[in-house]
Amino acid sequence: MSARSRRRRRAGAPRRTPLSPASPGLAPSRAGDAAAPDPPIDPALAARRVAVRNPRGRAARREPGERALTELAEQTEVGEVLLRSLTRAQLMLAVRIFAVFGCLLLGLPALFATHPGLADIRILGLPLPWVILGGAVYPLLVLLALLYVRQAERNERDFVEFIERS
Amino acid sequence: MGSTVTLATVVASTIATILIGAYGLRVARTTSDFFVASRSVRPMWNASAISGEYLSAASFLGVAGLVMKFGVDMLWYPVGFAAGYLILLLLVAAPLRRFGAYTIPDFAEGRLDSLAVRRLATGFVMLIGWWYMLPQLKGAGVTLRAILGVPYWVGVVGVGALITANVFFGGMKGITFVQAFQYWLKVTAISLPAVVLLMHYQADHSPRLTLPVPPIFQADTSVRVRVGARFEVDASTPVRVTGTLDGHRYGTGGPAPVTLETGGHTVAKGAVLTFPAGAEAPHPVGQPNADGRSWSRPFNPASDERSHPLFFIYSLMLATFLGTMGLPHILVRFYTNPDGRAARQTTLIVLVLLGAFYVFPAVYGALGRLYAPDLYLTKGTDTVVLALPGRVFPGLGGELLSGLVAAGAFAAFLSTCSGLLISVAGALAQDVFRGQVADFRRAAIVAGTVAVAFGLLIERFDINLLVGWAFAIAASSFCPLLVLGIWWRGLTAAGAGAGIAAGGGLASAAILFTMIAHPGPGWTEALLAQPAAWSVPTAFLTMVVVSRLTARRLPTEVGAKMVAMHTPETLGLGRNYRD
Repeated sequence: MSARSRRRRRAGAPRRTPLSPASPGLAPSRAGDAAAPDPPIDPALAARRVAVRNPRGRAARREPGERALTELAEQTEVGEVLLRSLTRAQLMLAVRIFAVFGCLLLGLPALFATHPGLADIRILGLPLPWVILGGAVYPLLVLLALLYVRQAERNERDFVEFIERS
Repeated sequence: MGSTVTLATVVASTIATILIGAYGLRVARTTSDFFVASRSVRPMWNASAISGEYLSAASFLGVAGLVMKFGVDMLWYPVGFAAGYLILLLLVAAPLRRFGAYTIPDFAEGRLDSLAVRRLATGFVMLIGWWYMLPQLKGAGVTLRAILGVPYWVGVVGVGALITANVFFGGMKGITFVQAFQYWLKVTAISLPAVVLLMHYQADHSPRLTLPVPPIFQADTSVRVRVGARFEVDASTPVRVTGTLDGHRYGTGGPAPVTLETGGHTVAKGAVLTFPAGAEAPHPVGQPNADGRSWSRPFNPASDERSHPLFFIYSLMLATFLGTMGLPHILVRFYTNPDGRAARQTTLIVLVLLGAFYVFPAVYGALGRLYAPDLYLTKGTDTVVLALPGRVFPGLGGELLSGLVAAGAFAAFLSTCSGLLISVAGALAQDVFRGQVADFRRAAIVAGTVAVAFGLLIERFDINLLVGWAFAIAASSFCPLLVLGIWWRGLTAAGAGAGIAAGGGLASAAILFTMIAHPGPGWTEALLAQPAAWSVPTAFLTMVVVSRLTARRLPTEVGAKMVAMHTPETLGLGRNYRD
C-alpha cells in the first residue's frame, strides 16, 4: 500500500506543491482564529493555494526546525516517515489502553454466565456483579482515560520537540 | 404524584431552560455562532454540555426501569453509554477536532472529496437523529401522563413544540449554556432523592433484596389503573376495588372487598385496586416477577426472556461502545473545543461526569422492587424514578422530591431532543436547503414536526430498546467511517460509501423487521433484535475490501489530511477542510 500511495503522491505532486514557504505573510494562521469568527477571505487570495502556517511558531523556531517542518508540510518521504512514527505511537497507545479495558470488561459477561457463584460474593453487603457494573467500572474508565490523555500528550510533545530540533 | 408542587417544579425548570437559552441568544450573532458556538467553549463547560445532552430519557428513566424489571444485566446499558466515550477518546476525539469539519457529513466530504458520500452521511445523520428522538418523546409522553394524568400525545406534542421553539430562537450558543445547566440539574435531580431514599432504606432496617421471594407490598397500596390491563396473581389475594374488575362493577358506594383468585384477571381503565401490606405483587400475563435471589444475579430467568441473552449483551456492548462516536449531536460538540488537546480534556471530564451520574439509576431500580412493586402490574417500570419518592415519603417532602426528579426527567428529554434537533436541522439546512440562518430555522420546524409525528406511533416500545437501536445504526455506519478515515490512508470514497450503506442499511433493515414482524424466539430473533454484533464487522469489512478494490481512486491530498489530523496545532500544519 505504501509503495502505491507514494507513487500516487508523486504523480499528484505538481497540483499540490504551490506551498509557498517564501511568502509566509500571505498565510492567515488557522490556529489563531480559534476564538474569532473567520475573517472575510479576499477572493483573489482564495483563488491561490497558500501554505497554512503559524507565523509565531515559525519565528520562534528559526532555521533548524524548518527542514523537518517543510518535510512534513510537503509530505516528502521523510515527512511521511516522521508522521507515521507519530500516528503509530498514538495508535499503539490506543490499542494498549483498549487491551487493558478489554481484558477487564469484555470478559465479564462470559465470566458471569459461566461462574454463577460470583454473584454470591459480597462486597460491603452488595453482590459482586452489582458492585462492578453499578460503580467500580466508572473510576476504571476515568483512570484509563487519564492514562491515555497523559501519554498521548507526551507523544505529541516529544514529536514537536523532535521536529524543532531536527 | 400529580400534585401542584410537581407541576410547579417542572414549569420552573422549563422556564429556566428557556431563560438561559435567551441569554445565550444575545451572545449568538453570526451564522457560525449558530452552528457551533464559535468554538470558544472551555472544556469544563463543554464537558457539562456534552453530558447534559447525552443523558437522555434512556439514562434518567429507562435504566432504572429495566433494572427493576430484569435486574443487574441491564446495568450494561449505562456501562456501555459511558465506555463509548473511552473509545471515542482513544480513536477519534483529537484528530477529528483537528480536521476542522463541523459535522459528520463535512468530515465525509472533506476527507474523501465525495459529494455522494456526503449525501449518504447526511441521510444517516437524519435517520439516527430522528430515531434517537423517538424514545425521548416517548419519555415525555409517559412522564407527563404519570405526573399530570394527561394522555400520551399531549406530552409528545407539547415537548416537541417546546424544543422546536427553543432551537428556533436560541441557536447553538444558547444551547451550550442550556445543556451545561441541564447536566447539573439532572445529576442533582437523580442523586439527591436517591441519597434520601437510601437513608430511608437504612432506617427501614435494610430489608434484604436478594432473598428468594417475589416482590411484595410493604404497605397497603392503592393502584389507579390508567390503561386497562390483564394481569395474573400467583396466590389468592384479598383486595378492595373501586371500578370494573373481570367485567363486574364494584364499589359504587365505596371500595368493595374482593378476593383475587390465583390466575388471570382483567381490570378496566380508571379502576382503583387496594392491596394489603404483605400481599404478593401481581404481574402482567406471561411475565412472572422474578424472586429476589434470581433477580439479583446475572443471566436470570427474567432477562433470559430474550433468546440468547449472552449474545444480546455482547451485541449491545458493541453497539454502545462504538455507537457513541457516531451520534450526530455528540460529535458536533467536539468542534466547539478550541483544539485537539481541549477535545481530549473534554472527553476525560465527560467520563467523570457520566460516572457520577450512572451510579444512581440502579438505586431506584432496586428500591422500586421493594417500595413500588405495583409498577409491574401497570407495566409502568419506566416511571419508577418518578414514582418512588412520592411512595416512600408521603407529604410535602415527598412532593418536593417528586418535583425534583420530574424536573430532571424533563431536562433529560429537553436537552437530548434539542441537541438531536439541531443536528438534524443543521443537516437539512446545509444539504437540503441552502445553509443560511433562516433556512436553519425552517429546517428546525420540519425536523421537529417529523419527529413528533413518528413519536406518536412508538408508544409500545421500551425506551432503552429504541435507544439501543439508534446506537446500533450509528455503530454500523459512522464508526467505521470515522475510525478508518482517521487512521487509514487507504480509505476511498467508494469504500466508505459501500461500508456505510451495507452496515447502516443492514442494521436498519434488521431493526425495522424486528419492530414490524416480531420474529419468534431463536437465533433469528437474537441476531435481528440487536444487530451490531454482525452489522459493525460487515461495515468495516466492506469498507476495507471495496477501498482495496478501488485503491487507484484515492482521495486527493491524503498525506496533507493525515498531517492535519495527527500533528499538534503548535506546529501550525493544520488546515481547515471545511472550506
